[in-house]
Amino acid sequence: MTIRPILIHPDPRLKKVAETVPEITAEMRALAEDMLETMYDAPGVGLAAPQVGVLKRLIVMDCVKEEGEAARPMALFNPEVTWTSEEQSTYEEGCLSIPEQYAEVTRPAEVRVRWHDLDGKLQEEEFDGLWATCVQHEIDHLNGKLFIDYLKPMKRQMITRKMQKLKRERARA
Amino acid sequence: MSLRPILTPPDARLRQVAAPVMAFDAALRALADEMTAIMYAAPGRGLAAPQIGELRRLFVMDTGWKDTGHRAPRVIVNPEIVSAGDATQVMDEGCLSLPGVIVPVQRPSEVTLRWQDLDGARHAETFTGFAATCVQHERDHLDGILCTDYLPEDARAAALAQLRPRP
Repeated sequence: MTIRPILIHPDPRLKKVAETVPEITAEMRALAEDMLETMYDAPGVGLAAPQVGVLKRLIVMDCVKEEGEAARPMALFNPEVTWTSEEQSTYEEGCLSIPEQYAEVTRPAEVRVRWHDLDGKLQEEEFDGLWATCVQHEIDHLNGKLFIDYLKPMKRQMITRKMQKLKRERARA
Repeated sequence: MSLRPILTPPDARLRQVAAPVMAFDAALRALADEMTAIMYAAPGRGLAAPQIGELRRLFVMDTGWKDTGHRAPRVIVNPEIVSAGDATQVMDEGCLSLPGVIVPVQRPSEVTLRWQDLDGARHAETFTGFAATCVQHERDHLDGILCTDYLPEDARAAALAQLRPRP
């Protein structure tokens, strides 16, 4: 397993719509494992393939869903939201591609998602709490959307300028 | 999605009194999920909301997972210590907001805690040993108190000199 570099916004690859994964090959499974390792190292609770520069519809998450339940590393290929609750939830989100920036985003409080698992089997499950926010945040990445796209233009531009500065500093280091 | 960083001194939010939780909604559940994830990633055995800048009265804890490998997170909302035994114990305490610092703290060895869960249901339980220290340490965070506050002045200065930046 390898920790892959995470792309930092602004990057054209973070704005593209990712391609469907037609078949869960050994290469795709290896990518999912690398992404989980990269996510744990960050640390984060979710990561989408475009964030490591691979424009495929794959996200990984680590959900601790219930009290007393073990952490569950999950890999979701071709995830699709099939239902959203009317109830909304506002939560302070951050993104591994936008380090150290956090802002409130309002999304449905619960969602049902359908995806293909590592064995290519179709799965469907409901998510609430942080996992509802996280799965929607990660699926957005597959459509070239970032959480800052929900913010007012001024705030979004301010964050983008900070990221441009951060990238210049990292390039010099 | 990233996790919020754990605050360290001299961040003023570690020194404020947190507000009671009134709304037992989806956002509270999400906050508890994030705090649990941050605690395990740290890795730690307890984390209070003010440590990530949320001035609300809740903490998460899992006293046993580092020893057993089995995760059993608990979410404690609006905790109150309703009684404490006369006997005390001294335990070496660490804190995710004080990386590198370990200090001996004397506290009651048995406390009865009353709290609410994520649905607002009320619970009460008596904690002893390490768990008693842990719930008192975490509850202190909700009033802006750090474990180093219990040390005499010179010992506190020496302990805080060990503070290193969070990796």
